[in-house]
Amino acid sequence: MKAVQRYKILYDIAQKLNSDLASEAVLHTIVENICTAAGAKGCSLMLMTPDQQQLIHTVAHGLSDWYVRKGPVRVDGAMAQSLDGKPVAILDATTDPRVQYREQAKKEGIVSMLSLPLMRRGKVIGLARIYSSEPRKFTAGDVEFLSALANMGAVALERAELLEEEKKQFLRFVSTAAHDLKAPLAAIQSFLGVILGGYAGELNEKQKHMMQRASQRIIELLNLISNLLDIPRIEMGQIVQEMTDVSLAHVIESFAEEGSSLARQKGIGFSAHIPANLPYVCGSPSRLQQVITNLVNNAINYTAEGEVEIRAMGTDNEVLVEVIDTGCGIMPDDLPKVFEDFFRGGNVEFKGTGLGLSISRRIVEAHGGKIWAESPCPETGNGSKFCFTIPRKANVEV
Amino acid sequence: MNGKKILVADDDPDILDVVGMVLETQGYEVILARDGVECLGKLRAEKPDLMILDLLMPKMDGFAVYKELQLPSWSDYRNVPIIILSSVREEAGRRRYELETGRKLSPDEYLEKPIMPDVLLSSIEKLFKRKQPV
Repeated sequence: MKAVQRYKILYDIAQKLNSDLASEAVLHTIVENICTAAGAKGCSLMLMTPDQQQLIHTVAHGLSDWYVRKGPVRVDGAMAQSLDGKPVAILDATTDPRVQYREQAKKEGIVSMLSLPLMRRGKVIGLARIYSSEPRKFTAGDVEFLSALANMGAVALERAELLEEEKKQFLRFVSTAAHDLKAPLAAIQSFLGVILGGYAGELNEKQKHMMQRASQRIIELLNLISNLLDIPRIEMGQIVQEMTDVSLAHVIESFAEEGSSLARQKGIGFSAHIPANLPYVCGSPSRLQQVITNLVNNAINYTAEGEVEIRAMGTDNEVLVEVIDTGCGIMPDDLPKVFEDFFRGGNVEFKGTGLGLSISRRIVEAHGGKIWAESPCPETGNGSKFCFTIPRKANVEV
Repeated sequence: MNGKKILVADDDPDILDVVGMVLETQGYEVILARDGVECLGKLRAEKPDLMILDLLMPKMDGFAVYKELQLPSWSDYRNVPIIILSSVREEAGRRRYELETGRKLSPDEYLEKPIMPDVLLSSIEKLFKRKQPV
């Protein structure tokens, strides 16, 4: 390979390292570039486990899933040599006794293999493996250049780990803050509940009224704290851990009873229309429930007469949910702002945290969907319509 | 006294007061514990008919207490109903336990704070009715 090409590859990787791209994207570019630079079949960066006894394929390119996901790999002869800081080239991995997975290598179509130590601050943290599907001898020049690339991979790996650790620490902080802010309020609210419930003696009407108002304010404050602390949790991707197959039909049905009862209290109608074969989506059941609850509660709150309707339907690649009301509607100027933080519109009557819709937007977006509002509702010519989409569960063959 | 003994574990003394006060209005005998270790100790010593368990507590939290109670050494206490009473949202509490232990958190009842006295009392009554031999 010519020097110009090498500089180009180094430059590309350095630029990616400096970019704002997510660590995984950077790591992937690096392994891809190593493959291209080496003219190889595949490449994997393997990190050592804390006990230094095993290696884990952390980022890979050009290798099949079963090969990469066979779990932590025991350090074999070839690996031990590179972990000592020396590059090890193996001409035929299917016969070389230093290789432990000779059969798997054969099945994967690997012939030659180059193991390079991954160095970080003078310490070996793992190794980069380059796989070739043909017998191949690596020149000293190749090894030197590929080692440089591998070490940039080591920088990116370390940065990814640090970011992950920072994220974890921040979320732990948020959890503690949530608990410490809510605990005293929960205690106050519990005392108020005991008094209001008459468990500590009779109250006169005036006392009861004031206690009820105090209790209402506490509930609002508890909601505000939950909402505020929800935002970083959603933004830092906690939803990904909660992802599972979700039937939106089931989520809507489980809220229908509560929705009907709220609507009945306000003297308006409520109906849910869900086709029997509504496709599943991949998502967080509790977060999607939160979006539906929020949209329906809003619709009921802003509707004085008429009805609130929730509809769901499947399209080619997503599920669409619509919440339609016959309420006061939204001013055209306000329409683009309803999903912003703390936006309450001109309506001061209805007290909310001003975060419900902005959190719903974050949840929908974290699922790769879209959320929007129309007013008046195009079908009925009055009220408003809130819609959101969630991508359908992909039919991945495993 | 209605003859039933209830163990309440919570690190917040105000919560213990509230729960204690509410339970005593119905004639329950109330035993209090300030952390998980004390809770397990009093479970053995006092043999309550039901326990109310907070999740976030010092020394040994409610998750650990629940996990400990699944061990064979506690099989004598398996029929003591457990009500979890926590500020951790039910969904989050269940997920955390599942992630940490790989097992399901399935208390007889899960109530979120703040405490609603009527709800707490009706849950307890329901559990006692269910537990009565036929």
